[in-house]
Amino acid sequence: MKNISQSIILLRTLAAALVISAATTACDKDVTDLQPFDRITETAAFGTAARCELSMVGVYDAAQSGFYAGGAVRGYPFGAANVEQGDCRGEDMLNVAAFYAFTYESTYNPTTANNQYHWETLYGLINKANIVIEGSQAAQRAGVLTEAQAKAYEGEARFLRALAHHELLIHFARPYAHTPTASHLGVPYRTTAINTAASKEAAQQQARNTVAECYNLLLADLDFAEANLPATRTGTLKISRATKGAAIALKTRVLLHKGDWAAVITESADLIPNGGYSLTAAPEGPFASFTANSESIFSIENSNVDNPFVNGALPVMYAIAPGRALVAISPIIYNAPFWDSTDLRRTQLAKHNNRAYFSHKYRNVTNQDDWNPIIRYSEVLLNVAEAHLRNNGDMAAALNLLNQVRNRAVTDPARQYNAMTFADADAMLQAVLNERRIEFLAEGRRWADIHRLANDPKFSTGGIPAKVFYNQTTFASWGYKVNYDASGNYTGTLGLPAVPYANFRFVWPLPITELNTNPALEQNPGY
Amino acid sequence: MNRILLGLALILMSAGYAFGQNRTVTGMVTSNEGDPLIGATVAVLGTATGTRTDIEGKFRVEIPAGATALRFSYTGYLAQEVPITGAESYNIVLEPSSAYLDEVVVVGYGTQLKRDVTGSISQVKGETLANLASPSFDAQLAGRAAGVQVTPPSGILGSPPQIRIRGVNSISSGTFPLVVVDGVPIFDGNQGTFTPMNALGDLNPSDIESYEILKDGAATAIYGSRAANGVMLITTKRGKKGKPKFNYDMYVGMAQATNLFDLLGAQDFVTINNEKSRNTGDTIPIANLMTDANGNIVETDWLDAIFRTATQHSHVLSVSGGSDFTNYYFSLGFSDQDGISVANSLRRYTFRANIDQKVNKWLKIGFSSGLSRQENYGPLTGSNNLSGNTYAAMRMMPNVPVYDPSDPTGYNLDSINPRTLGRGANRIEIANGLPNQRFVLDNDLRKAVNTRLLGNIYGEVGLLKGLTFRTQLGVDANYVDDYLFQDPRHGDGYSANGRVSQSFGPSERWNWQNMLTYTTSIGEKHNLDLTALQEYQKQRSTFYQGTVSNLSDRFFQENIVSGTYSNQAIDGGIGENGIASYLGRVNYNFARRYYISASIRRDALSSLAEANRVGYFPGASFAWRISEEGFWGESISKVISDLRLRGSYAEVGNVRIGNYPYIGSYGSAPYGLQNGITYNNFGNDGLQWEAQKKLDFGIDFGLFDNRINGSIAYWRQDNDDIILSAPTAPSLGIPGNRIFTNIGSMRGDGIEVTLDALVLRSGNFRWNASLNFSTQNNEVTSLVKNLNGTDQDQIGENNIIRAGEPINAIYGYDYWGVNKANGNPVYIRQDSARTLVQQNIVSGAITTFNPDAPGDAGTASTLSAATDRRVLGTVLPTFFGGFDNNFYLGNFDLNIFLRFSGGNVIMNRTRIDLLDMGFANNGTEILGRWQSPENPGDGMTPKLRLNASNTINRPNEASTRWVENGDFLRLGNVALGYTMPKSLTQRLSIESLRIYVQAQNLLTITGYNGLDPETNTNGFGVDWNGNPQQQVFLVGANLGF
Repeated sequence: MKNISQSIILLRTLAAALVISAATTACDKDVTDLQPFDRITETAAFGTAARCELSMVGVYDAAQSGFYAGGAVRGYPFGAANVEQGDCRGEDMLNVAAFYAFTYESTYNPTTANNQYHWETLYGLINKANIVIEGSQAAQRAGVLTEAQAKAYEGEARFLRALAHHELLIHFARPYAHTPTASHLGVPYRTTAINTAASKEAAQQQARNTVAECYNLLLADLDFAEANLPATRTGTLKISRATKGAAIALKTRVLLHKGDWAAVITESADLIPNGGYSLTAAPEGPFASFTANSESIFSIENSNVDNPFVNGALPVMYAIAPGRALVAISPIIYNAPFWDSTDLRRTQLAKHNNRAYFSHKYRNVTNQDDWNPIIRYSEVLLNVAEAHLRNNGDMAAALNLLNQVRNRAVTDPARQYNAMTFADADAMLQAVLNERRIEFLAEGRRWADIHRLANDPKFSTGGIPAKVFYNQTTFASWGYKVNYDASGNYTGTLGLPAVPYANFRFVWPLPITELNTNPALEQNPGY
Repeated sequence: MNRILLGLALILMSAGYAFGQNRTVTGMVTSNEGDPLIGATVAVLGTATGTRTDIEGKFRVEIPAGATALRFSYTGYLAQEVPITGAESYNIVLEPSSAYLDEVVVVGYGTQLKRDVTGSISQVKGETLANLASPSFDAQLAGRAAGVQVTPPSGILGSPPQIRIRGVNSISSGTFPLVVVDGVPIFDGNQGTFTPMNALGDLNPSDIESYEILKDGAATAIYGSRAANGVMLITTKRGKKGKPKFNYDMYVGMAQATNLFDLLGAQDFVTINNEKSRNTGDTIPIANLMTDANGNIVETDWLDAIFRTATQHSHVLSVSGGSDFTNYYFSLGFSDQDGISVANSLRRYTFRANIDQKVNKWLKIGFSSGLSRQENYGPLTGSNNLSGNTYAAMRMMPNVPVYDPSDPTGYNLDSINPRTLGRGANRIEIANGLPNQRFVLDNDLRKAVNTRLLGNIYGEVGLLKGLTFRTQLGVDANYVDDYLFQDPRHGDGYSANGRVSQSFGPSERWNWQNMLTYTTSIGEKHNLDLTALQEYQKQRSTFYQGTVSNLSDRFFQENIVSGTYSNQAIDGGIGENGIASYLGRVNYNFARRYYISASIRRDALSSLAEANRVGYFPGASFAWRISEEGFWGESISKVISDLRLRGSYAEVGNVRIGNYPYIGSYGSAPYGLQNGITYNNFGNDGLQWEAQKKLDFGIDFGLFDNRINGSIAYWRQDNDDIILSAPTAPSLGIPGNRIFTNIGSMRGDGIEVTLDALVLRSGNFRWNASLNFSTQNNEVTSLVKNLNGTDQDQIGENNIIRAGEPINAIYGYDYWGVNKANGNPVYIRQDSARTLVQQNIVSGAITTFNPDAPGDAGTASTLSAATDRRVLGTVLPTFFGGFDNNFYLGNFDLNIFLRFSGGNVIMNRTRIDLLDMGFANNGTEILGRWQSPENPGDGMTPKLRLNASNTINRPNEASTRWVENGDFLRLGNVALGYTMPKSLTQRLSIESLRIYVQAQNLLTITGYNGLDPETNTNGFGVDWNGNPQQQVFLVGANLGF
């Protein structure tokens, strides 16, 4: 009897021991040694040529859909926000609702989300570009990429890096001509990948570069990009991915900001007239067919499933119903006498809803997939026109370029410019500058021009111009006329006073998130 | 049992022989509920004579001559002394002691007698909460236990309350306690995507036997790495031996908002908005009163259209019972609650089956299983959503109607811009294109449906005497189905021409525990309890979501229907984590006088790199029951019947750190239609466990024969190596601008006092009260260092994390008031001179302000976000507690429950929205605005100007203008019940019947100007367009048969 009960106890104990040991061997690793299914480890991200390509695309994604407060996507920095911020810092577009009020009214401070996320996402883009440069070089050393492939990726990344740094410079630094040698504060120009504790430590030591240093690095990046990028690409990638032409086009813009007129003309030689780009027949061409047209040199791609969404997408923000119509065209520009009444851009690219005129450049409200035009051939033409006038007063060359842009919109020969229209180069230059305001309306370029012209001796914007304050008065009281007749300037009140160039608010503050974490960077004065 | 009866017989017999000449009295001892108490002690005071009651609660005892009193006592009940009179028969009713010491308390991996517990554990009985109408039990834990701060964020059904046990214990990791149901750690928090759905709402409160909240190191150390935020153990009901008991519990009630906004009426709206506009220079009025077809002025109360009086009802049917071998508990529950906000409702179906089966002398098996379905409907409640219900409620224009029969939709939509509310007679449309909120509430749909299986199965094997092996496999499987429909005609679906989004998200977790326990007593004095455990747990959460838009017809709104849309997107994701643990524990006491316990747990967590994966978490505690010592004389015992000192120390951790924080990784990054991946996490192979040191000292006491029980405890928690989502300089471009790193420390401490007392007993009247009071302090002691070695502040819109301050303190400007000369807001700079500066409401320019010459333009100055803000107060209440009173008079019972909290400030962000300068409605506070030097208003509210909120109110930064005291005292519950007398229930052939009426949140006393001092929309003391709290009135019944 005793033996039996002992063996039963033994049996039970053995059974328990079996369960425990089975659990130990089966479970320990199973539950603790887990790897993610939804992300690739950094060591594997450049392991194959296909993954290198994916990582390159990821840099564009950082340009298209950076993070906003709470992780929302609002198209920072280049999915839409550069346009919205660039427009709302200027006077030609008109903030209607609360969305862009801080920017429009220049009441931003270091805690304001718009300037904070523009800064943050631009640097997010820059670091990702630098990581891809480092990753492609490593992939080349490992034999995953050929030298040409690696350099092409590096060129692409450096193009985006330059684009981002230039955007930072126009918002967070004074223009190039602020000091004689551009020795004033620019932004930190970052060229190293920050993905390890050591590289982070090193980068934290970097102070703000001077504006001159930034422009040198910008141009070096664009030179490298020009040398190594493909001349063209297939299908829609021709516009949505960087090309040699894009690098040159951007260079003309950067050089214009630098005031290096001769270089603008020299660089443009590879693009005008035989760079593979041409103006579309109609002004709406680049917008109606944003994925494929002859004029768009570089645009940021959006799609129906990947876009800045309802709180950022250009069509939702800018278009009348079913768009949200949050940013209108200001009567300052719409009523400007230099904008010809028959100009096709008034009909093809603007619409009203009985309370204000709104841009019609972005149309796909339901799908929200309009691409964001970063640089178009028409800009290169006007960049070069300006350079000719400023460099040596070559009015003939300039008029030709200006008329290419203008005459497709102003089709009545009687209303077109000719050699007799302008008394001198300055008068023509004024027309070129005016043309930019019309041609790039609602493309965010206005702020860049205000910025670079602020201390121009002849064509100064003087700072942030006075703006119309939208107080929701009715359509008629704005001075708009449904059948426009170019009879005069906007005569209504300018509720928002001008901010002079000397005022600290001319440049954006570095965000508080940066100041709290980075003593190496100096805040812009006044904030 | 037989032995006891034999003993009783012997006692009776011997008594009979010794005192043969004495008289005999008889009687019966019953509980307050009328049940006979079997084996109650009946002592004849002053003699050695006594007896125990028999199986019917009856007794018979000989009384020696000269004896004056009888003493009746029974475990868990208050002893009673009754003078001996001439009567032959004594029928005694014993009242339960309010916190009796022989009660069993659930501790981690087992149970203990309450008197033997050496840790800080608060117990809340299931029945306390079972009859309270509530979306989930956790909301009702507020004020019930010392050290446990529960904040229901709003009256939106489904939004999970914030629960903090002994303060906030992490800076960027989770702070929710571990919740364990019948031994299985479960999912908690919000499970809904489009509308909140509280995972704890899946439990039927009527199924719960008790809640135990483990607070200190001694109690929590056995949960090791999961214990830093405390542990909540929930035990469901099980059958008890006896004939089957059927219960039916129901209530039906009405809920309404405790408080709503004070908004402008139509005339004030017109006045204020025309003034906003006029101050911009526009002379034509923008707002006008509207007359309806009958010539009456339109005056709409939008709060009526957006909030409501809602009905709520609940039904629970249960049966339980047991035999020598089997016991069982089954229940079915159904509750259907409408929220006080239109479009908000919660419906819950629950089924529970708990069975324990003894197979033979050494084997027992059983299971606990809960199956539930929760259907949550909700409005959009986002603080800054144009279609958010409170956001809209305060802005809808009162001079236009809600409905317009002439519009095809039947709602008042704008004829010029149909995406907005109809403008009526106003010249312009509502600011920011706000939709007609009632249309949105009626037509857009947000819901979350969770089907959940929560349960475990176990086997228990007796190996040797005292040695038991138990294996238990638990599962928590959630199947969350989220659904969104946005109507194409108006509101958020307008741009996209209608949108449907549907998501399915299974989250499954299994947990396997194998445990050996050995319990022995040596010589009746040495009590030893050993536990060895292994535990494995793994969970996987996945989801996939389809979103379609541009609908062919809004008819297709019940589900995604193939081919009814032109635009589609799909998302999905997956995450896993697991933990492997081994635990050893020793509990020893000597004669229930000296206690010592120690445990050590080894946890390996998948979320850390292999080299750092394993952590060891030790804990130890002691207790000394002084009242058992020889020197504790009879006389002192009469006053202090029980006194125990205890203390504990433990090191625990926090696993709420995400799934793979240490891995440097690349995640998906599509660029338009091109596939891509991108760097998305800065790796840190050195990432370690968060470590928390818990220290606790306490005194437990019972006074006057345990008529009053209480405890006082001091605790301190030092959190080191906090896994900080450390902010990095944004210009470095590190993904998310953060690195997970073990930097940062934080300290909390506090005092907890609990008192339970039978305050008064007189005849058939009784008053039981329990009071708990807690204090808590929190200080962030270190953070990531800057290059210059200082702790780096983490500054949000309204909150700051700064070393030396409580976590997430409110941070902002000092507001001075209004410049009476021109209506500009005036602030105080934080320079040494405390310079006054005013902000021009047109240009935003800052200039100095001289109160003696307010008309002076002043000189250019700044108001710096970096240097002119300061800490304005802590958001964590420094004290809180509850006071629960139960009164019994005959068959009536009355409960009055009060709770309170204070010492914190609230950033009333909602007030900024109520004073918004857009063309929309405002709160009545705006009537105090500056109008002219002669009519300067309340001195705090600046001049108005359309669309100039940024300069007038600085909405994205806190200031003393908006920061208010958060103290409150709330009458949480009042309930009056009546229990049918036995005579009546017997005639009705039922066992028992109690009917009651109840009112929750009847009254709140507070100086806070917002809707409610507990409204907390960001989790840290900011009330930004939160929803009102609900006040519930109900009638209910508990029927036993």
